[in-house]
Amino acid sequence: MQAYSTTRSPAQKIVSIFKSFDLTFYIGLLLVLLLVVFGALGQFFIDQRDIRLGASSFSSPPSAEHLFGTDALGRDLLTLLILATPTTLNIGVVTAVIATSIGTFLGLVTGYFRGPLETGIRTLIDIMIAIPALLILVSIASFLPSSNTVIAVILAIFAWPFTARPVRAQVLSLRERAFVKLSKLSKRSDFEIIFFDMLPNITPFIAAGFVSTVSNAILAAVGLQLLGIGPIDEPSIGLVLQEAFFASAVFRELWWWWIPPMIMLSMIFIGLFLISLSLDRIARH
Amino acid sequence: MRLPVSYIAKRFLSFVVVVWVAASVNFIVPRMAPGDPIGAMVARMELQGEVIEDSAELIAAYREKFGLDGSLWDQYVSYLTSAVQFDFGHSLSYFPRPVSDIILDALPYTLGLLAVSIIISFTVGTLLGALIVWLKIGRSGIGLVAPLLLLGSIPQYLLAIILLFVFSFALRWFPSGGAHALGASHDFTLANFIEVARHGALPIMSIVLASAGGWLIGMRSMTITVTRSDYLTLAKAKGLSQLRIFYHYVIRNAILPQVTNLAIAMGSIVGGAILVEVVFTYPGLGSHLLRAINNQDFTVIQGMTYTLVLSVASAVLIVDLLYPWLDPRINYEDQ
Repeated sequence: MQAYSTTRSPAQKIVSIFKSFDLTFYIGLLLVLLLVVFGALGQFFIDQRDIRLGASSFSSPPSAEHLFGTDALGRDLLTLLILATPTTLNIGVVTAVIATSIGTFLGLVTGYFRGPLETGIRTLIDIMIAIPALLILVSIASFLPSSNTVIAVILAIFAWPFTARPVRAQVLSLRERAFVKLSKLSKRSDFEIIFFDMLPNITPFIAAGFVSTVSNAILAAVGLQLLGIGPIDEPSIGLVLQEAFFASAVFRELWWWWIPPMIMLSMIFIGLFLISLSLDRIARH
Repeated sequence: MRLPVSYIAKRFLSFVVVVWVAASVNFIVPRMAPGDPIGAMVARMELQGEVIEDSAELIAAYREKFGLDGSLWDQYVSYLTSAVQFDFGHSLSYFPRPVSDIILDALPYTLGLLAVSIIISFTVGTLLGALIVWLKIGRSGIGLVAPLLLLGSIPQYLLAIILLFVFSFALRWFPSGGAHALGASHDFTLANFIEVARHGALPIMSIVLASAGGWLIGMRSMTITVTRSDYLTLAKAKGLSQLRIFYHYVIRNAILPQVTNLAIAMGSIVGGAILVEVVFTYPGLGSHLLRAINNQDFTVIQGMTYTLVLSVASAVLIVDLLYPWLDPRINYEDQ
């Protein structure tokens, strides 16, 4: 890993970043981008009235009129899935933005400084990692009505230690590196050393963690939906799958109902996995 | 080995805190709704059109047990005391059946499912990861295990639905749900054993296929590190047998971080397993949890989540306490 260098122009830096990615990364990115485009562009072609109950005939297979068919409630599945995609991706991104910000900041600070506060946060991280977030969420969501945003925030509360702990470990090893020692000798402030010397060096590492957090958050959110306690105020891919599964779509041969959400979720999870695998490889170089 | 007292104390503290958090969430959540908790639970349930027989009797029993007439602090103390004694009152939908009774019925299935699948996936994944490096299976080896890695990125419950479709619906090789043949006795006979294995096969396969890849990656990278170490070169120079080097030098050292990761992954494994149970209607805690959710049976939901957190925390504690025995070198003063 190269120490932070300011001699290159921003454009050169961006080009060199994209050159460092391998095929794995681009396949993963493609899978996720396909869904983003599906969710974003699809909005222009749909009519919200198609997902009213009984808007069309019930459980009809894909046809020219309904490209993805309809579910047992007579809703157009293509419309439903287009509306569901942003919701599902959002949960992951919101959770990961909150968790990565908090986790990175606390990881940097507790890795760099020593003291009682640092010990306290370290103990908190160790304990929080041991709490099974999904199970706590089940207890909360089964009683209190919740929205996707609330779920994302609760997931983030339990997710940040998974960023903070490895970031801290990285900072601990960076502290012993020559360029950090040089910075200290040249009287750079702690703030500058942490955010301008250390942070850029662990960016690929944080990016890999961010992508895993997105994936884990979506995994938990879909899990809640399968238990029937996820938010039902807006369609999500997990909700479509849950409705299909518990209407026995698998055994009633309504393949068009349950297979598309399965494929979409698999694309999300495989795509994010490939991206984080590739980022991880870059981080360890 | 010197007994690392502070290490053990820290692990126990972590265990206690995790279980305490679970109990406290269960205490706080029903109290965030208006009214007293049991009233709120019963009201929510009746709102869904569920009918509770003897609801007055049920409410009285709950009020008495958890001292709802006392101050909030008294209620909290009484709730925590009950939680420690594994007492969650009565089921709302199966009153007067105690919640702990329902849990104890379901627990053996979940623990059995988890134990078998974790042992298989951990052993297979770890062994494959080590063998790929040790036998120098390069690119072609990665080609062989790539499907396992990709499966590992898909959640257990999605894999479960695919397996249910392929092996139960399309091929009809395995039953689609339950843990026993319908109406079968629970005697310990060979025929029954085969039936139980057939019913458990798909749930176990879902968990194993979804998690073996993770163990494989971890073991692979650790084994690469170990094979570059000086002590391995020395062992080879001494002319030790390949098997001895592989088992006592490579696996023995490379497996240590895997064990740490097992403790960290325990929560998500258990969370995934309850969803696999839901997919296969396997009669463990997951399926009972789903039924309780459908019935809005909050005392059971709370008992279930508490039991699951307790199981995860206990498993983590056991792994943590076994670790010093596995790796006597570690410096516990730093931990």
